Amino acid sequence: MTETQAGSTLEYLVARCAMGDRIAFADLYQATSAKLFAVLLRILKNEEMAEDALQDVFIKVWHKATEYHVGKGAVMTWLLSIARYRAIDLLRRAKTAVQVDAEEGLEERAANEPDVAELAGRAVDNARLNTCLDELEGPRRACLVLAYCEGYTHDELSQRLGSPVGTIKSWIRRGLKVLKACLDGEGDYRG
Amino acid sequence: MSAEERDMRAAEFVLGTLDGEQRRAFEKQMDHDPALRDLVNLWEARLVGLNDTTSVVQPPQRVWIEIERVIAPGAVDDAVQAPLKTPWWQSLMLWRMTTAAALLALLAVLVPVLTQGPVQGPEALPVYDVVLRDTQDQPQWMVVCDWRAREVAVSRVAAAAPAAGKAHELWLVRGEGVAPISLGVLSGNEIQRSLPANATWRDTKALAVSLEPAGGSPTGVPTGPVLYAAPVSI
Repeated sequence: MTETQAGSTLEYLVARCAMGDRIAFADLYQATSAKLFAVLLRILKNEEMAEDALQDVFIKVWHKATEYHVGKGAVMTWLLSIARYRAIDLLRRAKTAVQVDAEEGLEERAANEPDVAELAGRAVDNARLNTCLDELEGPRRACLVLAYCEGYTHDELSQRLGSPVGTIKSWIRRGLKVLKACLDGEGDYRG
Repeated sequence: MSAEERDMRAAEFVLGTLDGEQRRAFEKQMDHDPALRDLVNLWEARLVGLNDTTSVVQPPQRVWIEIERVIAPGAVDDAVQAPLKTPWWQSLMLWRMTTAAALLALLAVLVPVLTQGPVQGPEALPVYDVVLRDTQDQPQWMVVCDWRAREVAVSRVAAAAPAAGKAHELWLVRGEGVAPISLGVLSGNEIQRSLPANATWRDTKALAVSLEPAGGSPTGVPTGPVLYAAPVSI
């Protein structure tokens, strides 16, 4: 392994961050921040909140770099998870704090989103995941995508799709089980 | 909770559909339930491809400037010229790059030496073999540290030569707040060095190799990142 090869991998950059290497940290930010920022924006729908969240995420990454290990999955998966969880926490907190009228907030968010049919049909690059998503009918697929990418709760999905919460919950669980069986049956879905 | 229910809860946590309170409770549970965390990591890997439906958006420069300011107060905006937040040799993080396996191997070497009796005063000094590993846990250098003869022998296992204008420098790391002692630049495949008078085995916590400018650190302490390291005491 030459230093150049090693330096080109995110794993190596994180390992160097764990040792306090700020240059590696800047490289990691350079390589990943645009993707993470887009994910945060999509969930939070607010630039200022997304900027704050991105800052929190990278400060956390700097301090938690020692806790990363390959068992947690690929570095990008780890980073995206930290970002999504941060955004979802902020979203849930904002709701409790401001007591946003659910419907009003939802309409505002829905106005900036593609419609369910479009979402349900949207392809992902990962061919295997795509194939597996194709096994789900429209609303089931839309539930998973809206929850994952937009941070929707069961209640919000219920309002958005006009189906009872109980139905939404069972759609999601059913969808998750179908995905798991399909992905795990296909062997390695991490590629 | 059934195994299936646990798995579904993990999936819903990753998906994000749990409400705020449920999320917090779940996170607490994960802290002391590694198997649950593993389920979560598996779901993260299964669903991560959904992020492909999101493109990329460059964040404004001010975000990075703010991050820099928080992690390194007083740092300049250009990371390349900024000092490390704390020198790596003062940081306990160094020990974490070394595995439990390395520690066990080391104990296997150290324990017989340290428990040999009868102890003959200060002459009962250890001789130990240390394998320096890179961040991928691959062995790169073998070091025999002989505190009786006060000599160090270093053999290259796999470490690649540094880039032009750079050097690998070996250090005795003495823990937090104490500067490491340089054992000089490593060049060639077999290197012999005398241990400096101020080095003692009791103070030595780890051996490490850092990346330095050609000719070695200009300041007497490591200036570049650590590339290879191993603990030598606990």
